[in-house]
Amino acid sequence: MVTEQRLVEVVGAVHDPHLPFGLAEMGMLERVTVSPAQAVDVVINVPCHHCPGLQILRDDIETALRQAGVTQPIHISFQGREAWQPVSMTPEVRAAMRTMGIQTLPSRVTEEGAPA
Amino acid sequence: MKEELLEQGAVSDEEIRERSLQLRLRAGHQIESEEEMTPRYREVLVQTMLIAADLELMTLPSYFGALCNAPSLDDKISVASAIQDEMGHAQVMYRMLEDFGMDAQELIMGRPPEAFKSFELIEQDCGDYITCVVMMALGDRAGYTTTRDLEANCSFGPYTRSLRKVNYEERFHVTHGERWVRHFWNHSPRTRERVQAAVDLLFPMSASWFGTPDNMKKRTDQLTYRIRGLSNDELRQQWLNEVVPFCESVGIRIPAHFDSTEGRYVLSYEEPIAWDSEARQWDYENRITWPEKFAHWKKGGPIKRAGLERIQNERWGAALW
Repeated sequence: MVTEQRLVEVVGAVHDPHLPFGLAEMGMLERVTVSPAQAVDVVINVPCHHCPGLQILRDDIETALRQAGVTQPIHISFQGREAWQPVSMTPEVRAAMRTMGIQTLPSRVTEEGAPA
Repeated sequence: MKEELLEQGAVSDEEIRERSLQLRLRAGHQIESEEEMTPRYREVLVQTMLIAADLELMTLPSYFGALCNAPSLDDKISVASAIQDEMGHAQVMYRMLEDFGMDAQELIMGRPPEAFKSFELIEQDCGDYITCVVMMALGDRAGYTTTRDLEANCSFGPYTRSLRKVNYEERFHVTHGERWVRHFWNHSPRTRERVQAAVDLLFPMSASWFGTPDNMKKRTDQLTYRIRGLSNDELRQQWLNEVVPFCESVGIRIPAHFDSTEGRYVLSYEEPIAWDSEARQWDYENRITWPEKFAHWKKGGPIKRAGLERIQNERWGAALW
């Protein structure tokens, strides 16, 4: 039986399909839990609706969990409690993105885009 | 430095400048501005960037049919997003060419289609989503091989830096293409046939992406000036090293294999091969000459003229869709 903490590490280390950074440092991993029925529930918040990389991400998470020894059913949801925001990324990821020419909002905003 | 070069037989100031530039480049020096370039360096760099820009632009007509015919909204979004990425790359490269006195408006809207320097591969009409994802798996993999080399090795600093984001995006296109190629291969006998047909068409064109074999290439200025780091054959080898194991892992038949005597992946045919336009397939049996191959390339692929003319005469508003 793989511990929840180990599951979080495994899923958190799966890379975003577009960038060479893990889901944890991208701020995209909301939670990994084991349900009472022993299924592994993964909740990911993605930056863009209809991201063309979602299927790749789903495949990569499943592969990583299976390789880590997970044998029970896996449920992956891309709809978490809170929407992803650029500030969800670690400062290291934001700095790396800047060097490749991608600028990101430095503070949290409301759904309407006003400062939170 | 000047005295040493004079002793080595350099004669004119121009030649001294030329040779000192080449020495600095060999020592790993990065060029940051036009003032540091010699006319020959500038010419080779500008030609390289122009070809790169034209190749990016051609993605629009090549993928457009796949955008229109994509089976689901998600597939449509993924093609649209790939086209948008490629147009962004084209925009960056045409914009840099303006720093060398070229006019992007004129380059894109004013040149006759035959003056564009694209390659046969990207002059194909993908037409449908399956062909498009095969193009991403094989063709974007070829493009990504080239742009990775440029980012790692090009001696012109602004160009290498502009390629960081480009390469993240190209890598995604390749991953996306491979994911869906595998999916359609396993989906049904009919989609498997269509994947194989697209590979049969596009594989030799992707292998040709890197140009003629090294043993017949006269101009190696791109390497002399470290515009590129790897030769045509070295780039092609890199591509084979990645694309053959992928195709073999899926089960796709390809005209390439691992040669255990040579200890490397090789093409299973010898260039130049002929395109049989009646049978609409590559003729591996009857070889043609290189001048015939160059003439074939020069004619342009099916979508080159029509696609570029459409870009240059696009109607907006209701007529667009």
